[in-house]
Amino acid sequence: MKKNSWLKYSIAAFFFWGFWAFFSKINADINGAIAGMILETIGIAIIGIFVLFFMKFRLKYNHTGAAFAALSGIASVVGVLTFLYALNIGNSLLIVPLTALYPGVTVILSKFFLKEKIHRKQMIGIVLALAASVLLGI
Amino acid sequence: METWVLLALATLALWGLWGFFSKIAVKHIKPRHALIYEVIGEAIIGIIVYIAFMPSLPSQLSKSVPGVFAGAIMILGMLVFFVALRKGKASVIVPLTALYPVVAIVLGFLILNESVSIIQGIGIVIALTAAYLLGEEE
Repeated sequence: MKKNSWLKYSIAAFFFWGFWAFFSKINADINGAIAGMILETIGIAIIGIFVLFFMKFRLKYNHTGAAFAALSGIASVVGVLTFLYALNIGNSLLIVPLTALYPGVTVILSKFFLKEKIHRKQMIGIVLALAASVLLGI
Repeated sequence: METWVLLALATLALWGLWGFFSKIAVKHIKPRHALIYEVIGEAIIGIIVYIAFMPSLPSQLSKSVPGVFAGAIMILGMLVFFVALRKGKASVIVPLTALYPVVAIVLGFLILNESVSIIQGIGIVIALTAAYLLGEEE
């Protein structure tokens, strides 16, 4: 059982993110995008403070690492804002799977800027993602 | 193109950037530390958006809970995702967790009574297949 502990954590992530998307729809409906985004950021910050506490406030610093991590945070939360705007006016059954195709963008950016290889299955994934975007947007 | 589609595509692009920047960040610092810098980036944007728009936040707890809860479980998902990656293979964990829309779709369908057309339903299945394949690295 211990060998498979990664599975336990993966399933936890699967459910956390699934419920996050669902509660984001409720949040967007009740509070709208801007207030909704502020509330989600409060939730994020609370957990961040807890994690920092458990790390005994020993935060390692590296220029590049910290800068890109902060940039990733900025992209993620601006994405939450547009996500909530979309959820506020659209159908979550379509918006959640469409936005979950973001790894396609990461794969393409990594190919061009980090010179990473696009694997065959990922290539099929990109083609299917494009097809899915068209079908979901109809 | 409908507004929600454009917003969903903007979200997809921003989260793609999130994935790309995170990838660079964790080459330089441990994921745990990167997560904290990410939260700092998110909090800065949260504060800027709050000052810029001064949205009225809900005074009733019942209205603010879904948003705060959503933010908290989103970042908790990231935390357990990193733990899983430390213990298991990314080629299994990334595609598995990419299927999180399944949870949101089931909940949206059962609890929020949202529905889709047959073509959109096919789009959802293709999108999930694409999300799964995009995370494959072998």
